[in-house]
Amino acid sequence: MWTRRPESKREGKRKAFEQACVEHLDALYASALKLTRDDTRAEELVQDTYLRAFRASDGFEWGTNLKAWLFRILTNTFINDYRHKIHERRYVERAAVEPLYDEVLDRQAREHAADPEAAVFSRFFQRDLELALDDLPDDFRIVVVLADLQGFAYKEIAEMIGCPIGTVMSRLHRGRRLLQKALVDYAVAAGLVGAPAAAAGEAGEAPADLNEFRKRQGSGA
Amino acid sequence: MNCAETKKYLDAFVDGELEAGLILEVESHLDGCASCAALVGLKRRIKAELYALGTRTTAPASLRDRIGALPARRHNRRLITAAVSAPLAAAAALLLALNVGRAPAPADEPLSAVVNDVVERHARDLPLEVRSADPAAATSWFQGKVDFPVRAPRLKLAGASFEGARLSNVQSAQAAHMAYTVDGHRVTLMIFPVQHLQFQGGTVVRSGGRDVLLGRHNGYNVAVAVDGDMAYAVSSDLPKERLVSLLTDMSI
Repeated sequence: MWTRRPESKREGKRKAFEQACVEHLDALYASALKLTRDDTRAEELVQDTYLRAFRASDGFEWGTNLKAWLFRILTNTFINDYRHKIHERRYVERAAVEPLYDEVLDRQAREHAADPEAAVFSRFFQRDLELALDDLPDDFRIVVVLADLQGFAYKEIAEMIGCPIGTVMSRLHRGRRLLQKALVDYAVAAGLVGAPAAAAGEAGEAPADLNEFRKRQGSGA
Repeated sequence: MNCAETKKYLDAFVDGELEAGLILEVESHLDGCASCAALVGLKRRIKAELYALGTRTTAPASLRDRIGALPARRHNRRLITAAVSAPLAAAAALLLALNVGRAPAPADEPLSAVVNDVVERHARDLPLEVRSADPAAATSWFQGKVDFPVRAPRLKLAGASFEGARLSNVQSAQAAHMAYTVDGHRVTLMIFPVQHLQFQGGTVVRSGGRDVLLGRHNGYNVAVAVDGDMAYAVSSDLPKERLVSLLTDMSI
């Protein structure tokens, strides 16, 4: 065991800490990719996160959740330094519109009693979900990434982004609702299900939304 | 519990965050409601796919290497503590002002981080994206590639030649990376917007009517001059006095 020259206790502790931090690199990078939606910026964000984490190592208490601590730094770095505040407002306005797509789900549930959602969303589900996630407003995307990609508890997320649990829950709810809506939109566009019979205004709005979305993503419908 | 009530709890239900009493109520509603059950199915599937998305991504090896090198950077850092000259003090004050309300835990990046970045880019000797002995070729190549004006400076002194340029970055700022050879030594010039950087002081020398900050990292010297909102950093294994005169010679 002791073939190496013994290091100072402090130095050993520092190395152990940094090694423990690096174990979360893949998780941090995967989340940074979904937060920034850009490879280069994701790498920069992760590197900034580690730089700050290593420097603030004295602020970490052993025995507490290191992964949560790192994600708090990642999230705060993203919120403060990386996200585009101008785009945000437009997205949030759009997000406030929540048409009811339950009707489509209802109909599917009746028609495919055994496994309703599988019947609707079997093809391209993963790709569509990724596109929909990329299109979420930052505030919603952050909580979805933390709760679903990383599986953090509401309480942990609330501490990371510095807001009450109720806010986390409502953002998560609205974010997921937008994801569900987008997935239904894709299913409708792909002809897997009929458009919601609801108001004509809503039916007209959905494809417009989708076209804009597809155009922005640069992928053909 | 009816559908509307149940739907309020479905997110917490699939997240395993619902209190025990309510779980039973939600479950008994789901038993008799295909519509809500379908919604739960969709929510669970979304959650599972997102979790898979979070676990199947691997960080690039180059990023892992850079992170592994971070602790070394910190220990090699030489913090320069001389007084800050007037224009830089103004820049520093502005940056401090911009910094109010930022992320709490991390300390801000001082000059040394800029020095380390510039040295790393210099030491790596990365391939140039435009190769030419004429700086004007690089100047036109950069048009539209960076969001600040770039003019590749011409070195007037004998024994100096321009090699080419590439895109790079210093901290989170885009940078125009210029390569020169001076008396057989590689010299790197990085031009980048300065408002993204925190200059916290340094050894300052006055040359050609301009303040030049000096730094050193891993055996390479760095000299940084600020002009307006742009920083010009040269790095090489040449003595720092040579770097200062190079910066002056560049007539930036």
